[in-house]
Amino acid sequence: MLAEIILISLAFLLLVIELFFNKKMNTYNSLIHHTSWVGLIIVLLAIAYRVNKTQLMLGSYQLTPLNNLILIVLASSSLFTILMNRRYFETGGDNSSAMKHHAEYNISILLVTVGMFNVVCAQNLLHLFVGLELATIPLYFLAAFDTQKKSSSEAAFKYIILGSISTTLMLFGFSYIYGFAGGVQYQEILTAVQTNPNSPLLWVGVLFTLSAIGFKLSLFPFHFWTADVYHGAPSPTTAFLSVSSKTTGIILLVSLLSQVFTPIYSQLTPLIMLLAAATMLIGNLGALKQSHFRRFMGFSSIAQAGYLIFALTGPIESARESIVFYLLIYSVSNYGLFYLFSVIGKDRGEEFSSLRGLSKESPILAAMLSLCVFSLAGIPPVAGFIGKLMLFASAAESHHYFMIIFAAANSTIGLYYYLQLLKEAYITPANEPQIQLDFNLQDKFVLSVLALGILFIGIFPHWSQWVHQFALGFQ
Amino acid sequence: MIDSWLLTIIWVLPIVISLLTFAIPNKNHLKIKIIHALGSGFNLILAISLTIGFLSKMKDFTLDPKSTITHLEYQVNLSWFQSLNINYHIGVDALSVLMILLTAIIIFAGVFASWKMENQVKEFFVLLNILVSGVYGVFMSYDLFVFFLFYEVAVLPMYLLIGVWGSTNKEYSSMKLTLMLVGASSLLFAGILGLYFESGIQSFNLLALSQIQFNEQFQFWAFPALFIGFGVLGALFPFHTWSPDGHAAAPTAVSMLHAGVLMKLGGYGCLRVAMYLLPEGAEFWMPYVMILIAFNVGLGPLIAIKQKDLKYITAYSSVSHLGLVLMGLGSLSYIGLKGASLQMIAHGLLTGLMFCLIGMIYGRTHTRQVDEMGGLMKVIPFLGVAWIIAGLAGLGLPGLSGFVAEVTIFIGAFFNGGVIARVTTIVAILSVTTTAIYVLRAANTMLSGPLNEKFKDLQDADWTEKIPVIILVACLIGMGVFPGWITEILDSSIQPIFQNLQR
Repeated sequence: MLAEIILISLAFLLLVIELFFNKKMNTYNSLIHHTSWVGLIIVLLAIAYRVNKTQLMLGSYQLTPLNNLILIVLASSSLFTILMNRRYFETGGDNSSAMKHHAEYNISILLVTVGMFNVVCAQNLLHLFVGLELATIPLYFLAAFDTQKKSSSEAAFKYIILGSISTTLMLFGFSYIYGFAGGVQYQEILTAVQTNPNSPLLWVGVLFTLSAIGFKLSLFPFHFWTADVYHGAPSPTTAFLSVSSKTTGIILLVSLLSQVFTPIYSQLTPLIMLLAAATMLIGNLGALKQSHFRRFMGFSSIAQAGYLIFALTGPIESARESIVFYLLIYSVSNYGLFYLFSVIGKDRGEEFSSLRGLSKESPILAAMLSLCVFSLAGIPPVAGFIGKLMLFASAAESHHYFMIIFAAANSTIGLYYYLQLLKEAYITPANEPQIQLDFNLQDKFVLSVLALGILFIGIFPHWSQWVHQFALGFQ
Repeated sequence: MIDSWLLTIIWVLPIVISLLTFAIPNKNHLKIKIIHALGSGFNLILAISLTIGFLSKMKDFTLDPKSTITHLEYQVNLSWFQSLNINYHIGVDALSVLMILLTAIIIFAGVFASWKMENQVKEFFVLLNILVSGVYGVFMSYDLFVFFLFYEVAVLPMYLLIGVWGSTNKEYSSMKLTLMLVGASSLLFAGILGLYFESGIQSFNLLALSQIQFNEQFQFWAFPALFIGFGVLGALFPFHTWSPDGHAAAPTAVSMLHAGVLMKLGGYGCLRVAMYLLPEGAEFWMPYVMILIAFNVGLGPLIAIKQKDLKYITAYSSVSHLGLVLMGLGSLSYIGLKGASLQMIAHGLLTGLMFCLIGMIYGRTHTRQVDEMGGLMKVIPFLGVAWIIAGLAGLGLPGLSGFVAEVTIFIGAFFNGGVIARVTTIVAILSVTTTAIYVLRAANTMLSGPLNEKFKDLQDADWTEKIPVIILVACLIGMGVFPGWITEILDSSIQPIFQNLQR
């Protein structure tokens, strides 16, 4: 419980700092920033040192090694967002001036993280719902944070309306499941599903819940909000959405499928396969024509969600394992790209054209770009390839070979638009000389950590072995 | 002790050399090039010592004629990703050794062929070395996953290499090449995962999988998936369309490496993976594949005749020669398989030499259009003679490497006995004539006739250019005159695959 307590305390500490310190102080932003990230490192350490499987809060909050790993992914995702947003609040990123209310932003991120922790570890539907609300409502106003841009408010507006509807659907689904099972604990519902898998009440509940999760994950046909929200929101929020929100959504799906709906899992396969195929296709086709970075990442994340869901067409154990492994890799690659664009886009704007001439100007940044791009596209020898392999292997275990050809072909389409980034950086000549890059020590450090992660998670098997062992030891 | 490290060093060394050059600022072109020349030279020495070591080991080894397991030397087998039973399993058999040697020769020549490169030299050689590492890795992997990993690594740098340092229409060509090759590997992906899960033993180990008889239903779709997946790289008609544009746009060393070695990965993969593991599928599908190959060998030279750009001529000649490789494979006969392996080596040397020379000629005349050049033999005799030797090897003149391979393939394919195979063989033999047309015509137009005034002052090859040309010509002639040692050790390689096909 220590990590969660530290997280909440950190949020309140920031609140106190914000109340009592003068915002006009030179070092105010630094103070908020450093407190946040040091605190998150402590949280990470606290999670990493937890080893035993425990059940807390009268059995509604379960910590297992696999859950701990996911919590580490979520916490590090918040850490990277906080590291990234400093630039936006101190000097201004994305070719606009500095945003205000740094402390509130960080507090919201931390509280969203607490919510996400609860979603992952929840063992009953009510706890899950509370955690989910905590995890999504702050995100609505985090998307509106950039008060200088109308697109930010528009994005938040779309997000809040569609998000609220999906929450309603989820609650509706939960109520049907409660009506069917007579209880909200996962265990109770599981027993009810085992005895009565064909009940219409159950299936209505499942379908409504799946729709709501589909919204969170931007699956087709619930993906329409993604591009606009990712585009309008300020970059740190987009980065956070693309990693943490996806992680929460997919882990929510996986834990429901593995702990509650296990007996009907194989019956859901055709539906999941359809969703995965459609999502992949929409994401990949949509990204083809993009030139604005955040919008592009929106479509790219839709496609990635498609690949993640695709693993769920295989047996649940290998699916869970490969999904967690891929999330590790996906978060590092995504953040690499977002962080890179926050550095490059500061005075040039976050468009593809800001990359021109990068290979000559800063070969290291261009190499980092290649690394992230290849990882997301799934090209060896970087980590993304192994991750995709494991996802597809999970599907192959259930002999869905033609779908694998389809998914791999989608990956090829994906390669086309990821290569556009490389094209801008390496091949297209810069027409006018680009503005100097502002590239400080923190950037170098964070980017190196991300680069090492991308390179080594794929090459050294320890990560996948840990995931494998944690997954095996899950029950 | 050295034995177990030798193979790993061979594929790691190019990457290490690239990392060494990171410290040197991009302005010191000469230093960077010297380091790379030394590095690839050292790699060549390692490859030669590997070949010699392999030959001496094979002397003590008697081949069991009924064995279906490939005999490997220098094996290393370490566990890598336990959850999917992926092992770092590398080793060499005869074919692998020869291909590794070929790669080392071509990249050594390639470094010298790129001596005049001036733009972003460091990045160019880094990417080239990553490419070479990938190629070495493919030839020595015996675990399907490692094989596929290196295969993809070998495709990865192509986009940047062609896109940044290429010429004619580079953006379009590089994107087309990359997307077609990666798209083909999506078929491979499914095929390899299928092999893993359908085998019953859940292993990626090539040797273990060769002993399993996969069921008919699986082989029915898996063989075309694997064969086409590899075939796209091996310029199988109608999936060869990436090749002419890609080779024309690529810089010299990249074309040499790509046409000379990378496209052999396609044939190698077909042989090693598709045919070795799925022999029943091979027997069923081969007649249909032979029809496609007939187009390859028949149409390739005809298209080449129409071309005016030297690089396009050579690219289409590659397509037809690789069609011969695939024809040898498709014959499903012992001699045919052997011929295919010989042709892989022979054509690699040949095409490496041709692209090398084209690069040098282009650097002087600044045109690749054959019509615009004439009478060059008077001013650049060294390069001219080398071009003629390359051309003659291309049309299969006895005494040069091409003849040995082509004759073997024709005999092997005819031996097969099926109607389609025999018709394809006849088409191929007739295509020797059409090959002669474009080879001799290109050489003639370019080298003889009246000398164009603006080419009066061209310099002949300097020492950095003579080295690769001499090495490649020597290998061409050497293989043509002394092919015996190659054909002998290939026995041990082809035998197990053929035995599997007999099943």
